[in-house]
Amino acid sequence: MRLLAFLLINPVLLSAWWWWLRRWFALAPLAAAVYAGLLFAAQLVFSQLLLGTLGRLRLSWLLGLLGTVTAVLILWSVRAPPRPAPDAAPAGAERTFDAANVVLGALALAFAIWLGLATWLLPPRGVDDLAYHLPPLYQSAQTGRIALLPLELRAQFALPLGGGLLFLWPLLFLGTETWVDGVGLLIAVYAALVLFALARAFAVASREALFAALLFVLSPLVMAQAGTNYTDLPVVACHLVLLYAAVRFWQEGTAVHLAMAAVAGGLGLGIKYNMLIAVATVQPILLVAVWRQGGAAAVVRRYAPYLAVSLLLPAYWPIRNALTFGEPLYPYALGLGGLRDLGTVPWELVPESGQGGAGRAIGLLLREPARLLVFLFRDPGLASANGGLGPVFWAFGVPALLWCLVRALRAARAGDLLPVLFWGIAPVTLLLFLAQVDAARLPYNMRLLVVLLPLGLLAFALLLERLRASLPGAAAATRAVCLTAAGLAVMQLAAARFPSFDIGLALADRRAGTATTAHRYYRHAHGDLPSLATALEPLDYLTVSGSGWDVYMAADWIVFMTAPLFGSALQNRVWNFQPEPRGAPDALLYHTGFQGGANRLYYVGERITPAEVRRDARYELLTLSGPTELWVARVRLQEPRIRARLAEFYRRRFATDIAAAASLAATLPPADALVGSTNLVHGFRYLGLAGTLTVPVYLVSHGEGAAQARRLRARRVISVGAPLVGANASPLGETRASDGLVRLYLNEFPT
Amino acid sequence: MTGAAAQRSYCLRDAAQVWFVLTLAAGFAGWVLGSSPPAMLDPAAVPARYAAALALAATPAALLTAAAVRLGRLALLARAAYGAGCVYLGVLKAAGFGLAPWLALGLVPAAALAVRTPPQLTPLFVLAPLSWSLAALYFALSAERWLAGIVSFAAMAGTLLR
Repeated sequence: MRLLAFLLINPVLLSAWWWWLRRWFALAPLAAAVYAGLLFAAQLVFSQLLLGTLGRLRLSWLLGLLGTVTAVLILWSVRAPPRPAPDAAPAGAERTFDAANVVLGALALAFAIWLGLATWLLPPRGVDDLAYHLPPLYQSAQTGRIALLPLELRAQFALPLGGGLLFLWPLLFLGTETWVDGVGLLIAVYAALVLFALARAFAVASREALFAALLFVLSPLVMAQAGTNYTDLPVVACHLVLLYAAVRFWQEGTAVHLAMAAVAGGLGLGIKYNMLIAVATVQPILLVAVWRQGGAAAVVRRYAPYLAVSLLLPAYWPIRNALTFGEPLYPYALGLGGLRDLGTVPWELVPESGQGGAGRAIGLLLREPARLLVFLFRDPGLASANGGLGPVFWAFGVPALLWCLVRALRAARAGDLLPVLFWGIAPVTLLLFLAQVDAARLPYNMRLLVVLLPLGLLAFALLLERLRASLPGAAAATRAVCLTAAGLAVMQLAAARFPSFDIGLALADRRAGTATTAHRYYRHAHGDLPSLATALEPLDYLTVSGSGWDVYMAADWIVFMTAPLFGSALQNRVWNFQPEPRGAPDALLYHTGFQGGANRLYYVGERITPAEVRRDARYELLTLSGPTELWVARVRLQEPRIRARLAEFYRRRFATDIAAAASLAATLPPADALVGSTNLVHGFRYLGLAGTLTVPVYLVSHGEGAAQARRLRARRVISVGAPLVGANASPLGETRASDGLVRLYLNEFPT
Repeated sequence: MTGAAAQRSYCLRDAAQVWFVLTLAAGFAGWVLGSSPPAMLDPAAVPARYAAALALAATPAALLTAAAVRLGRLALLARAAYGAGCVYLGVLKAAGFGLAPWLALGLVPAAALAVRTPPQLTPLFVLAPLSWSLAALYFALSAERWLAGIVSFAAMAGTLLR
């Protein structure tokens, strides 16, 4: 029901802006749609920011504020004076939906369905999302106040949250993280709409404009990022609206376009700092357009207010950071050489493959251009959210950009400056990117070039139109290659692990009735998340329907990802993030052993070591998987609701081990305890919860069986997997469990 | 300008543009072949670089030859001569003679001539071969990952259909 309400309320909020723009500014439907999307996004972001600053970020307050603004808009629109309708767009001789566009549309629909299923079935799983995009949003949702989490863990917690607040909206409304990743798809579709409108502003036929817009959605990087909370797509959308408004302002000179450019730039600057480059490169278009209207006086009268709005809208973040850290763009500083990292990343804890230190990429361009060329054409980051601009961009978009640049230079000689100011953005952006990025970090940062993708596709649309007029065969062949590339790009998603779009296991679990929680499918993600999933799955499953636990975490720094600790309904609190914790943690999660990482635990806040927890009788090891351990307070595990939930979890996840344990249970001799470190122990624990096994069962860390027996003062102990050191052990039997053939021993300790 | 003179001018400009494209392609090929294996590249991808270089040289040549058939003997001869020279320059680059011969004898004069070509020919004679070359380079360098995508997709589809 809540989801239905959410699906209904958003079109209402969006339509109010659309109607207002149509009524007051007599904008054509397409332009009104572009600006309505922008204003709707800005309304969401700044409403949440205002309430979050006041400590009132609650759904009731937010709905009240959004509803009030919408009501005012509607009333305002009703009172608008009659205005002449805008000229209808000239009807094209060609059909917009030709065969190629229908095929691309079908591919885009298939992708949207796939992404929708992945969003529903899988948890938010982008690496940066889990590390630092989502935790401040989750904390803000819990506390009602814009959160600044401990920077000792991630300096990126200080980055602007303008983009993140878009993802927070469904989270606040629905009270679950399930649909948080779905926002990315809507932003991608919106950016495609703006690209379509921009192409139309350049008088591209609607057929080619739609072709380019669909290719944008079906680009590998856009599809990968559409399933995440990365902020590159919101930046692209803001950049495109800024470009669209600038071009329309150049063409028409009306204030509404300049105002929308200010909102787009301001919103974008509050999303990500690389929007600085995007905003800067568009300024010449706006400045020249204003200058043409009346020289210096027009600059003061029109450009200065534009600039003021652009800079004021994102001002919260630099002001907060300046007051808190003394540096407005913390963790960066802006200087003549661009953004400079303030040294907040503990590089010694980062795997060697991810470290920088190779010098700026522009040096590589000057020293070894062929090497950079070959590197770029390998499409680094393909099948991940880090890159993958796709073959259409590299093979057709780049040459088309060159073609547009040459034509723009010719047009400039003839006195038309807009093309050169517009297309000049592409090389300037590329050079500034190369001047900023460390060459060794290029594989991770190619996503920042995504702002060039729509420009390349727009140029390609112009070229296609030209080809269609002069060489129809070449145009048809090129479009066929694009369709193939788009189809391959959709298939390519199946190979992605960063994030994964593999919904096979999730659907199989649902069919088999063994589904627990979406957190189980962190096992599809890359790096150490599959190991962490063995702890995150029961943590979420046990707590999702209650008031939640306070969860402590210590892990290798690089995989210290706190977002999953909150739980799928944000039911849990991260103990490390609480300035004054109410008491001891309810659960503690440890993870060490990241391949190539520092291989040591990193602590945030109070230091509670695994050794201390093992000695602490208040806690019990619940899951163990290689480097991952989840300890839970016994008092929590004794709650009837949690016991029932845990039994159900074992039944769904360890059916094989339960059956194996049941086959041995009747033959077990009397003992003080049963200990072990394999999955078979979960089977015995299930029997204990079901009341069919009386001997206490303990999961223990590897090699800790004897120590646990000593702590329990037990004399007769059944061990699973291996005999205990210091005891007289005799074999009891063996069975085949989910992790292979397992032997049981009876261990008798001397008195 | 008489019809014959216009035809000669057309062919010369066309040849100049072909020269430009082939020089560019040969230069790319030489560049790629002559570069030391980039550290960022997987060593297993080195054969792919050679495939890419061949594709770079062969694709525009094939496309232009096909186009040449439509344009007559003079342009065809010009193409052959210039093409051979440009490939030779690319090989020089590959053999370690640096960029200077390629720039001095190939790219600069060819670019200067190409600028004067009739604009209506640009999309076909410059952009199309360049695009197809870049497409060939792209897929030559990333083919294994695209194949992995197809295999993964088939595996996932198989899981869903079971």
